[in-house]
Amino acid sequence: MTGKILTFYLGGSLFGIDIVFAKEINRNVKYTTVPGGAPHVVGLLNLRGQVVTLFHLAQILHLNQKQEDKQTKCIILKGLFQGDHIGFFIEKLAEVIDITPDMCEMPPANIKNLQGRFISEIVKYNKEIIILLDINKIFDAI
Amino acid sequence: MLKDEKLIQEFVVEAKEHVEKIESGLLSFEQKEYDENVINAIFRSAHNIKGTAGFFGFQKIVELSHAMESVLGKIRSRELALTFDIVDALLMANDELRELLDHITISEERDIASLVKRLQHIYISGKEAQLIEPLDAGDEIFIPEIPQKAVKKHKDDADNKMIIELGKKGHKIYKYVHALDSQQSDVERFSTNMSKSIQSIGTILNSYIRNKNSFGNMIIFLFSTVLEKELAIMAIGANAREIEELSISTQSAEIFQLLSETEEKSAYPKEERLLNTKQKALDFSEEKIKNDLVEERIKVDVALLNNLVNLSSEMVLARNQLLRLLESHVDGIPGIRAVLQKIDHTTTEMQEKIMRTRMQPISILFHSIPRLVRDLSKKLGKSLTLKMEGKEVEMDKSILEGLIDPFTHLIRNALDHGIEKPERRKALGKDPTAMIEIKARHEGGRVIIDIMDDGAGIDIEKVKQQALQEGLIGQDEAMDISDSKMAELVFSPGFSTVSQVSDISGRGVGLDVVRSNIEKFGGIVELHTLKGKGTTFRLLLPLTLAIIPSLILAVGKHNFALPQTHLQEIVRIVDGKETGRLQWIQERRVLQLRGKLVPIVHLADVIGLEKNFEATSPITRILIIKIARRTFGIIVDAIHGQEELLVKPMPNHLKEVKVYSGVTILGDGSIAMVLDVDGIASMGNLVFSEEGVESSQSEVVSLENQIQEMQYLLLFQCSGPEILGLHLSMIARVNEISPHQIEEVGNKQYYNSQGNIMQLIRLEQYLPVASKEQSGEKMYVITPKGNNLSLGLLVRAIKDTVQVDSLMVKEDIQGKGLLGSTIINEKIVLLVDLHEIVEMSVRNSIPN
Repeated sequence: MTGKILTFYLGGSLFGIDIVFAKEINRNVKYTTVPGGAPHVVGLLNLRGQVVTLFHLAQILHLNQKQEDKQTKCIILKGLFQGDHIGFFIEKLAEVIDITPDMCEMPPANIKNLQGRFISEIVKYNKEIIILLDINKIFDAI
Repeated sequence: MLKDEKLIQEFVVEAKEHVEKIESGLLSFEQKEYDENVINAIFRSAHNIKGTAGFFGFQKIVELSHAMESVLGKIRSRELALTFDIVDALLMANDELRELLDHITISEERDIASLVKRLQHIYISGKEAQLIEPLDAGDEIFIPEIPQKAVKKHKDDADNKMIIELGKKGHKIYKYVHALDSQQSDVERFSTNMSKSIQSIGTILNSYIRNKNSFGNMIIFLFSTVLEKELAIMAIGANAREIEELSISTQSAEIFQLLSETEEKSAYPKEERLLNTKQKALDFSEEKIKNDLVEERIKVDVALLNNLVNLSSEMVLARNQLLRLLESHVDGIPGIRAVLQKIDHTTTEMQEKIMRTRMQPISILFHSIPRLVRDLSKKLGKSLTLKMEGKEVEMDKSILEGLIDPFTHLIRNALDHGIEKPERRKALGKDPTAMIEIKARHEGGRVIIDIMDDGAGIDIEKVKQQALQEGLIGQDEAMDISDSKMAELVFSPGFSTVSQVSDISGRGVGLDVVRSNIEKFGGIVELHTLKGKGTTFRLLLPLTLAIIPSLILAVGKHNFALPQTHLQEIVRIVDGKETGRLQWIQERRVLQLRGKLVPIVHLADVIGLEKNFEATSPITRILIIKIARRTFGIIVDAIHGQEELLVKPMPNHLKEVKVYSGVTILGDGSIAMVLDVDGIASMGNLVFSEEGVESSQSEVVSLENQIQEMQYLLLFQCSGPEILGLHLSMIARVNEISPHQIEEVGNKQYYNSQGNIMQLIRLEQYLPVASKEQSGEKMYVITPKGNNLSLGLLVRAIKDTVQVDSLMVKEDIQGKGLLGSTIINEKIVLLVDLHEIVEMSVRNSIPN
């Protein structure tokens, strides 16, 4: 793709999402856990009167995230997914990068497993590999 | 007709916008984008133009837009495929519409007959009329890609859903077949009239005309209503053998068949039905124009309104935080106090106003009642007058809509079972013309609607027998159940069917449905009946659907909200004190509550939380929940108090969790889950037998006493030294009187209070307190609130009003008329149970 992507670290890897999806990034969020809810739902956040469902993205992507990592930073997405406002936790925010098609490659064949379907492209940037996530696929599938 | 220049100008501006919309919509079809939303939007635009134009009396515009609307309606319901020619005809009509609007003053002089005729032709023949424009052989159709089957399947699913929905609401489905003579004009008149009659009692599901033979047609209506067959027949003035009831559960196949009947000719303009089932049928010849269209209104997306509601409550929170933070600095910053105050007031007012945007006057509900009453009373041979008060009372739109069915039910119950025939009324010495009164009013943040009749009332004895027969209550239970409790049995599910109720001469048909419908949005139904005098149903409804008084409770660190609708009482058990009350049977906990065993679940178990045993306090708090006649208890760790909450729907990703019914934002800005008692009952594996545990109301300590955080008590003394306490919220006023103002009649004492004779009660006669001769200059009369009996409490001295937080009611000192005792400022205060006192005094004053 061409355009700006927002990148962040999660489970030791660098991920990116198309910046048009991001509404805001919140730090030190105070959320409410939902006992009995699905394991990939972390809880609910009150964002200026809107209830935002917060997801455990690392778990959805089957990443090994250290349990002791405090989940405090999250990206809130623009718009509604299956009728809900949605956000997900990240470990660390990286930068916003301009990408061009020549930086992108389709995901290699060996990562096209179940979680691979959530990856839209792989971006090579300054010797780093950014996994570009397909937000629509992820949050429409779960 | 109105000819206000300014209003007409506004209409033209608005109508032109609609014309633009119609044009761009129609043109999008030229690009082969068939889109249901677009066709709906165009349809609405045409409808809007028609409605407003009719109000101003622009007949030509009405005629043309109605013709367009009719065709669009058929396209929308997929009875008509959208061809270039139809688009063309519509576009031409639209152009003409614009012309008419541009020259609004001379619009009546223009000739639109040919355009209207062309559209009518399309509408009637189902395709572009041959006469006016020959059809191309290769006439293109825009929606052939949708396979017929898929369309049908989609329709079936929708039908199925609708029928199930109707069944849940207590609707019954009827088929009405009427043979017609061949005269076409009669057919139209008949079908229009009939559809109006049916719509006054229910909803038309389908209608069509069948050719029977060369002599006449059959007109068939499929409709649903809450009324029973006999009443439905009466209400629409049909012949008994023309109506057939179709059971939703057993005859669904037949219903489907009837629903999918393709109309040879619709007996009733179908697009209207799709648009709004409650709307009267419109006809080419007849127009009904709503009067309130002229009011200055602006259409706003409901989603936007809800957004505003959210934001305003958020603003209130921010305001609270701001005020709290700045409180200590107010004196240091000159001028800030005024600013803060202004923000404070503006925010409050703004929130109130925003809340009001969802409100609608109750007249929407009232306007269909006179016709229902008129039709039914005529058919039943009863004469009565209908009185309605409080049309202007406003409440949430969605609640109003949900009230239509229960209302129809209650009114027709009153008419059928409550009110006697005129001859009978005469014989009983009553006015032969009966009276039904419907009164709506605001009271204490709620809307109260009374539906009163002066009919026969409910025969408690017969209800009792019926309940015994049906096994709803046991023989021994029947002995000590109070009359009002007994009357409430008519709300029990399955209490009565048609035949049983007509024996009882009371009511009861589907009253359980009425109750569950009302309770669904947090309302309460009360029943007051007096044999021979009449019956009153009182509906207590929340102002808005979204705001529900709830109890905030906690398990571990998690806060939850529990709507108070089903909360019966709160039981506290202190360890080691009443050990016998909470026991284990087969690893399940039960509570002994006034001699009955109540199943108990721990909220932590139900929602899958770890129980925190270390922090267990010596007090066990149990919320007693009552759903219909099933009672169970929920143990929670802590109760934080009461809040009026704005309940938001569950996020879709959490919908499968059955123990919650929604989400809410608490006063401190944090989110709490709203508990669903039904879900808890099923998650807690509670299987109820029909004989639920019935708790006796008289012993229930008023819920308010336990959970209101801040309460005011009025402390006073009667003749003795004991200090008595009464909730300030229960007191209307306190008057100072001198003893000579008290007059004795018989052995009772009266006081003339502003022209009203008030009976005085001396508490020492009812309470276990010392009684001494009074000798004082002054006495005080406490008038309780909501007191229709004109009673006052005569006391010697008013001590104080005190503010206490979380009142601890102790049960050490017990006695009739006492709620218990508490300690305030190191003195014992006896809490008076006002209800019981009033009851005792009434009992006392009845001879024998």
